[in-house]
Amino acid sequence: MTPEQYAQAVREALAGHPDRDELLDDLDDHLAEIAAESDVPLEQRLGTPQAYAEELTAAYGGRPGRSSRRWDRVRELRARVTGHAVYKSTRSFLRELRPGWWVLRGYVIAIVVISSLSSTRLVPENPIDLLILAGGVLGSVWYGRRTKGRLLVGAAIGVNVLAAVALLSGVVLVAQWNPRTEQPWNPSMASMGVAEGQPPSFGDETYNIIPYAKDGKPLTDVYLYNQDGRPVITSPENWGYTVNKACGEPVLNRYPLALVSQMQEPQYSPGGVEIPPTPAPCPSVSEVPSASASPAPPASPSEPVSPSPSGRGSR
Amino acid sequence: MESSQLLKGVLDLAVLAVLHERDGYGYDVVRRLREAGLEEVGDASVYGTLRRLFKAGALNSYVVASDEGPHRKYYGLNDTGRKMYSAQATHWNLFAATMAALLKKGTRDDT
Repeated sequence: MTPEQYAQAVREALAGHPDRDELLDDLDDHLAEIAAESDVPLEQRLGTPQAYAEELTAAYGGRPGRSSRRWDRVRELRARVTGHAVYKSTRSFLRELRPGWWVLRGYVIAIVVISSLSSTRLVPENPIDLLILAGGVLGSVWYGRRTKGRLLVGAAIGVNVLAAVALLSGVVLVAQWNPRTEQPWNPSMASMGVAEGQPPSFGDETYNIIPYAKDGKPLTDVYLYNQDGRPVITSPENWGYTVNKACGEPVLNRYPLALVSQMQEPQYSPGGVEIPPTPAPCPSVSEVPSASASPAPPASPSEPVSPSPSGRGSR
Repeated sequence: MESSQLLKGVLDLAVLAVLHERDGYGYDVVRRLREAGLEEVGDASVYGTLRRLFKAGALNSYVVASDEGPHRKYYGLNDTGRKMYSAQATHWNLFAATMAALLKKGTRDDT
């Protein structure tokens, strides 16, 4: 490093010092004097230009020496991190991902705009949505591709942060969105099998079925099947009831179900006027109907009515 | 305590003393301080101290053209610098005497 280069490096290290020009007035001559005395490089004799600048300001004043030393440590740490191979490879990998991020950012911004114009949605639902979406993605990619003239770097950082926040909240929205129901997601449903698509249910408002005959007589022990011959099962657990297991493992598609409130209070319908008489608490298994013995379900069961061993009845 | 720490506190006085003897340019001051025994003195520290004392109005300066090397900016004490030197020298002598007495007492208590 020549005296000129060394002096220049010291000048750069002192950028922002209020008295820099005055302080470094005759630095070049001074360094040339030192360099003329010996062939040993200046860096070896004086240390790095940054250390030289720090020592200079510590002696001169204007900047507290201690805090500048602390900043030097920060700078040194930063240089070590940015020089590390892992940092470099991660950085280049992230650079390759940037076009993908531009598209995603444009999508998220457009969705936020669309959702603020009308109802919240995560996918476009009409041609206007699509138009806004295309505009958002194209604009975001165009902005990302600009390499020069980034006047609004701060604004770009802000937009990126906003888009990332919106993306995260969108992810949360998707996680909470249950297409089967308008009701808030109920954590117990995850383990109920309702979300698995089988067995068929009557929807979330029905948790027991009270069948009546044509003459108005309440029916008991009615086995219900759907068009596929699969047992129709409700989810009384969602309403705070369990099927009475006093008589052993209950048959879950035999209605009305003998329900036990989780408060240990057997009942059929909360506050219902037409509560039917309590069915025999323990109907015998031999009463399992056959197609000839009782009114046949729309599609006669192709499998035995008893609870399947696969555990559907063990709930 | 490292001598570089001690040096920080008295570098002004050391530079003033060197210039009180006779005028000098930056690197000349460094060399003379080192020759006097302050071998750890840093070039940048001396340079910064000279510039600060100059800014404070204690030094005058003049450039001497040189045929074989770069121009040399010489520094010398003006009236303000000479007053500063004598005041600081008095302070230092008092301080040094106090420290010497303290160390003498400590040594006596040890034995």
